[in-house]
Amino acid sequence: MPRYPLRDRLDLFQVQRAAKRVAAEVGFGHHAREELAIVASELSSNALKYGKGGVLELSDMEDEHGRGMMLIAHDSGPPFRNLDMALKDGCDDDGPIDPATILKRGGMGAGLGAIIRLTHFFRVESEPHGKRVIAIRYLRRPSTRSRRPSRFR
Amino acid sequence: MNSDQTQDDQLLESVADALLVLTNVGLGDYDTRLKVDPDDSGALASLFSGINEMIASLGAEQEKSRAYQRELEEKLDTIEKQRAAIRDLSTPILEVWDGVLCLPVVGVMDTARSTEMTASLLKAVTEKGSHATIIDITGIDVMDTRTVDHFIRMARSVRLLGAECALTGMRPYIAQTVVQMGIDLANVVTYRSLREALQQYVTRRQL
Repeated sequence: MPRYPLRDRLDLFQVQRAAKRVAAEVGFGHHAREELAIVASELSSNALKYGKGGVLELSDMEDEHGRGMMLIAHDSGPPFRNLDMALKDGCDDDGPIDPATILKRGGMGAGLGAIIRLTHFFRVESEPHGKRVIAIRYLRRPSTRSRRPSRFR
Repeated sequence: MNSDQTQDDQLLESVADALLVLTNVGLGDYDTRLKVDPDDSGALASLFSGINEMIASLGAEQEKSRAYQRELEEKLDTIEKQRAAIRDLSTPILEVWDGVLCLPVVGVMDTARSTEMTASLLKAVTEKGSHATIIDITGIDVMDTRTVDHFIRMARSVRLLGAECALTGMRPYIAQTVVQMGIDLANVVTYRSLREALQQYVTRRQL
């Protein structure tokens, strides 16, 4: 399973390229590959911005929903205090982000939203020294009937 | 008895000298050497010349490691400069004509990048007092819906600053997203290509 260190913004370029490559290996078409590059980029820039850096893992996977690509971002930052709020576009843990903070932070607070829109599975798990954010995109969208409750988007 | 005494004194003196020199070496003076009589072939003399050689090689190593460090610092400096260049190149804003700014967008567009882009574009519009801005997104095939929305908002912000703003080279997929999201395109001019937009703005300028 390839692992990519996330130390600074320059690593994002490497991660984007790697995501496109792995997605091509799994068998995704052009659009999906570009979308997965965005997902990898959002996961990584969150790990850099809020998680003090970390590692991104990209892998080919297969389960009862079919074949797909799994992206896991490990970081050493604190857990989300309010994930449901942070998932909303334009919000972080504490609610809506004002324009000044958006400029200062260099993000509009829609990264998690983008990840959810562009993947089929999303989950945050805590680790001994941080957390991991997992996203899966399947080659074919899993049918609603077979989706696991709550965590599937 | 008396000569033994003198020998002991000489030995002590030599040891004291050696300690002094080693202290200097410890303080970073690698040019200092122990005095060795070339004609003396006693045990002490060979020990001293051994120490001298050691000091010399220590000095050489120190010099080498300083050279490495300088080299490393230069490399880090280069990397820092390249980093800055990449940051700038990822959102280049070109003044293609008098008062006409162009922002060609290529690569993977994520939310962080689009936020940065807005900030630098708005800054450039005010600083350069431009009257028209062209955002060319030919190089982008796919964007998240929220980022598409952000681009349209960016175009509107430019209008608020008193400059016209055109979006050019929109891909079919993104056009579909814009329509599906029901984004309000009032105040946003779109052209098929960067070329068409340029022609418009430049001819209008010449009239």
